[in-house]
Amino acid sequence: MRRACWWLLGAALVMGALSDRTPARAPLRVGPFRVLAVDLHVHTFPLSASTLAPWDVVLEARRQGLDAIAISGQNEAISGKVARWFSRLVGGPTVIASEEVHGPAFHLIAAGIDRTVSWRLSAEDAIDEIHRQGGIAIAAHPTAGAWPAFSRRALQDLDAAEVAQPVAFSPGNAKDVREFSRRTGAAAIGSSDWHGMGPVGLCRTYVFAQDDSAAAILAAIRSRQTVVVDRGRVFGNMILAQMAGDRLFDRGTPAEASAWGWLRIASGVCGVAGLLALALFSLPKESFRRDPPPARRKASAGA
Amino acid sequence: MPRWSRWLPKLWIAVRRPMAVALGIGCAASLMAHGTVTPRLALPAALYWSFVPLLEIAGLALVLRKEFSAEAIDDFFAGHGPWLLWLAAFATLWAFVPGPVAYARTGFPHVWYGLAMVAAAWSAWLDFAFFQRVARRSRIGAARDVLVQRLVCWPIGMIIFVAPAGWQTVASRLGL
Repeated sequence: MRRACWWLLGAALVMGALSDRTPARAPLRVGPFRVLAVDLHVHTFPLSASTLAPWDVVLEARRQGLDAIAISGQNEAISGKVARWFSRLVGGPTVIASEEVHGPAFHLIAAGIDRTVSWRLSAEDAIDEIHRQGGIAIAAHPTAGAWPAFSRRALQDLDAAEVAQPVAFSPGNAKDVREFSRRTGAAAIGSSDWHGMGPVGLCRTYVFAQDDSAAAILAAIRSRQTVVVDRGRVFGNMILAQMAGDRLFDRGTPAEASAWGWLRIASGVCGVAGLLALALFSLPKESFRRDPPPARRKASAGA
Repeated sequence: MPRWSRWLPKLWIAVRRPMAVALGIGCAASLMAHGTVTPRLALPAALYWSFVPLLEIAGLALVLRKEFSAEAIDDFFAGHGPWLLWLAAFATLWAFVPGPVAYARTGFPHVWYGLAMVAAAWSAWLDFAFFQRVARRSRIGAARDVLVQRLVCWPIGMIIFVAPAGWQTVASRLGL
């Protein structure tokens, strides 16, 4: 069992390394705009309930064909700054330093900020503070439970709201977030709310910006120049969506070339089998019997 | 006989299972994010997730005191089998099931967190057996050791994993 576990994990690592390729993608231009695939709600390890460190998420975002990401630590902004520094170092995707303002009544993505925005503020005050810092405020997974936290002014001041994100994969929540987005009239956002499960950019926003700088992306979102494609449905700026046409549908998580696809599957299967073998090998067998319990020891000594 | 030849086998006994746990977590992190076990993600993740076995060892050292040894670490980490089984199942979900299906139709998160509770209970039972049989504790002593070991390492682990949002949740509930 022990040997099988190491062979399986070794094979998974070798095949994983061989199939780990970043597909080349030509930048998409529509009229005067560069169309950028952006994930504006990404968490990292540590401090933010995720599995991968900021630098690993930056590399993974590039592999998933994202042009920009917002690293939005829960009530902290340091992870975003670390990721931004690393991405500049390696020429990775644009990183927008952000925070998820994780309050008891509402969650807000504060994208493009410098200092932490307190979770103790009301939604109105939090949005004001985000704007003071030059950032944009995005309502995160605004299901019906969060609606009372947003006053009329908060709804008007929001720059964007998530319409596609993992909570919206269940039909009830999908109805809620789309209704909220319709009420605000803010830019439509698709985000993966990434905590390590599934690919980064599982849900993404297509931002029609002048260039791929953080400033241009934030400006484009303020101007409602976003489109979200969620399982065949299109949200956001319909004029821009029509201009882009079917080309947006090809910009999701990258499809793998067939040979590398097989290697990927084989690496995944070997990895899972290796993990199972590791778990079974870890479970106690003889180890607890090396020292018998005192009662049994006495009995055996007597014999 | 050189001195290192005496402590090297002991060191290996002490680190082999903790390293296996860290590598298991790293591989699971890579599988969940990428669908494969790529060294680019699995090895760094194993390195920074080694805080889990390190905290577990620290908690064990505090509980066992003079009985703390390389063999004790090795035996204690047998109790991580249930967690690795859960991790293998969870990694399989995110590696092979499309995101929308995994989120909406597999009982996520409640079923999976429920299964994590089962793994936690099974692991606690194995550790209880460890303290009874290997550390020769009474039933009450073993139960106390399991509790103390977890009280030492779990809160620190949670601080590393989710401190800012965790503090907000606690503070909001307590009205602080």
